[in-house]
Amino acid sequence: MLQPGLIQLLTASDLADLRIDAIPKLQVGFRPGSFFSSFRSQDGEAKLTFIPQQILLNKDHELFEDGDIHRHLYLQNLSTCPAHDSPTARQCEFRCYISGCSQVFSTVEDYEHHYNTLHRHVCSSCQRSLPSARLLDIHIQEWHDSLFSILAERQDMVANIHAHKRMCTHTHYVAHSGLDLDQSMHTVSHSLFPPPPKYQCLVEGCGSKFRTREQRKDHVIKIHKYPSDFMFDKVKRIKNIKIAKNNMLQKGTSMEVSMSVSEPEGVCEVLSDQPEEEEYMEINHSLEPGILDPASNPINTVELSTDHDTAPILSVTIQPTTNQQRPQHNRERHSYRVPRTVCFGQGSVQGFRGHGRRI
Amino acid sequence: MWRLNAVRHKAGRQGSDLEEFKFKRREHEKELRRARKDSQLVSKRLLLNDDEEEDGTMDTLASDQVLGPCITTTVRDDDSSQQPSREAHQLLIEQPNSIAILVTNLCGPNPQCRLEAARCLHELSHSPHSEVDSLRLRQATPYLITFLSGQSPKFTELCLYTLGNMCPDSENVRDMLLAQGIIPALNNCIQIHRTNLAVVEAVGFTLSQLISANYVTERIIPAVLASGLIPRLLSVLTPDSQFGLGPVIECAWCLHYLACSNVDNGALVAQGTLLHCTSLLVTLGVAVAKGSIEEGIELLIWPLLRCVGNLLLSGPLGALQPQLNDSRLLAALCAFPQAFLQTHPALARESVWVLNNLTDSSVFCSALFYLNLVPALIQLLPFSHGINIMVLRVLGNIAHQGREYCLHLAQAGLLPALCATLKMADTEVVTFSLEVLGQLMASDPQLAEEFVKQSGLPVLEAIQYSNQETIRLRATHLLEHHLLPHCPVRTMP
Repeated sequence: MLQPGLIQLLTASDLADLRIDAIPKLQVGFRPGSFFSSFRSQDGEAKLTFIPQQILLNKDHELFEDGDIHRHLYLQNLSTCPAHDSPTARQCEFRCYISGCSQVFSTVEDYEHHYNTLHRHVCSSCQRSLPSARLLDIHIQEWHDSLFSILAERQDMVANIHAHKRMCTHTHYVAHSGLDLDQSMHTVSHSLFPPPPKYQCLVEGCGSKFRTREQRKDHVIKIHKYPSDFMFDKVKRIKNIKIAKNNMLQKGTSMEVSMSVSEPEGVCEVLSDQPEEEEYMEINHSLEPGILDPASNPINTVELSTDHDTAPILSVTIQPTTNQQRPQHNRERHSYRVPRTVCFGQGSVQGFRGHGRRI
Repeated sequence: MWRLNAVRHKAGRQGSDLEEFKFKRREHEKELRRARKDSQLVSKRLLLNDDEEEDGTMDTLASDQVLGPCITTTVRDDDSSQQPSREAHQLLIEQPNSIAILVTNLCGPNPQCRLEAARCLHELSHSPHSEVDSLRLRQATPYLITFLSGQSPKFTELCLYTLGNMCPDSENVRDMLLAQGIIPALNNCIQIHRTNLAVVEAVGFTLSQLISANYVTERIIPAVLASGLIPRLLSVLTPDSQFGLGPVIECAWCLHYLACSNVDNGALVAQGTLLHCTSLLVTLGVAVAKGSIEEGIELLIWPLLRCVGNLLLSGPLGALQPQLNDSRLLAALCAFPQAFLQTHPALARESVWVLNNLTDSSVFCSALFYLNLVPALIQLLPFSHGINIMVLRVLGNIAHQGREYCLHLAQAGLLPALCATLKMADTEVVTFSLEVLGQLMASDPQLAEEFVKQSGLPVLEAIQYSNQETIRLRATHLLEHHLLPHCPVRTMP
């Protein structure tokens, strides 16, 4: 139990060398105390306040409780017993300090696994956690890059024009019947727009890029043999959060399950049809410190996944945590949603694909 | 130790008896904790009959009717869990002049009657029944006190334990005992019977009951300090291997109660208390190192640690140094936590508390490094029960001494240990860890680099998102002032 060094020290026979006044005192150039005074915050308050302090404990202090109880058990003839159960030292637990998370772990490894799974590679805009840095980059590019989303919309418009051959959804220019808008100058003007964005293949090392999410999805399914129910680009179902949040708090189940697929349609203010929605590999989490936007406030996290009921391969089942508050800016997106009943042409997809942020 | 021997016998029972015993003990412990919270923690001791004496006395007893019920209650085996019947004690008390009769016997010519009367009074003093209280017994106290200066050890022992059981009952009783001269009597008694360790143990017990009660600081403790009892208590502080630890334990608890009352600790130190207590702690540390941990040794270590811990505040450490000159004290204070961590974590914590009070001086901090004791402290950091907080205080004290101390701490492996404590659930642990870390990094930028190499940066960044302001502010402060140049810059795509 005792370390050998300690044993040696205590059982040494030569007492002369063990006098305190014989031990050389460590010399110091300067005291760190002088540094502390210079490290005050702008408001002049010292942030680090520790100073050495001797502590006097009186008879009734709580630190003395266990010893007193032991003494009185002895006085009352109830103390020693070979197999008595007195409190043993416990190893401290570890806690995740990300606000709103507050999960507790018994080992450092468990904590670190939790942290690396849920709190790394977090998008600073929407607080979604991605499994890897690359997917985070792709996510940011496809969802939070305003240029990308504008280009994507324009591409949709161009696609719609091709599809409808009648009305330009952007300018509402209606071509003459029979006349392919492509051949008109109108289309030419669209082609002067910047090239459409490329959706990258999700598999690292592939490098393929696609014009649309569907194409990417097809590619990943066909070429990389991903299952067809794999979670691809997730639609930002922000409004579902409230409902889902209630579900979660009530059921206490994991996110994927609680985000019942059947609900969104009734709830959704927006409206691309369910099957059209593509899912992304995302997990609940909170902010990754590495790409922390210094201007943003400390986060309160967790966002609910709106994934389908089948668990995606790469996503993580999260234990529901305490009440989360949605970041304010997400709620603002609701107002940009197109109402369900708007129809852009016969047989067309109702509503817009994708949800770029309009800045 | 006679007390522990009795208990060991009980504990030797098998199976359900043992479980029942443990259950009762747990329940009892809960009661004691409740009582302590209400400042009502009081214990009384019952001196058990030696077997051979009992057989002898039965035949020679006087056939006084009043003594009848008293006799029946004394007949019991050494299982003191059997409570004397209410009727017996009540009967005795309700009889008119019963106490007066006992007192008469107490002072009478017949030695056996004296002994039996004393035993009766002793049992009444231990009685849990409320009708039997000390005020009823007060007729007897002047005599009991007088007899403390007598020569008969067994009789004196009974008188002592009777008085000891009466002390905690009320302030009135204590005032009365004080007025009747209990303190000089105890002083005399311990002098006369210094070779009889059973009596010495009884004196220690009675004194500890007197001074551990509530509201004693004004008159009782100054009287004890002035009485000349201290040197006598200190002379007991050498454990007798044959008799056991009983007397030393009682005297040590007396010294603890005196020191923690903080009435005149300078006087205590002047009479050699610190020197004797630290010597005994070193002796116990050596015993622990050799592996000979006697049963009940923690009952002795506890009050000594408390006494020393509090006496360290009685003056500047530099002035106290001559009494603290044995560096093995530091080794002992590091050995106790290692030895008792699993059985008595509170003792481990108090041992580190004493170290905290010692490390306010660079002399002792240097000594900790010289003796290579810091790694042993760092190994205590994973443990809760307030142990890690106390260790962090000690480490903070050391770091505060200067740059070289901080470097030595880092060499001893503190930085990786702090990376772990920064992740702990207890906010106070994290706060102290940040403080210590701050001192380290402020003393030398090299240490900040080292911290980053230990992957400490993400840990601090994570703390920034805590909803606890104390740690958030400190983490931010450290990041901004010491770690900013080391932060990797992530570029957005």
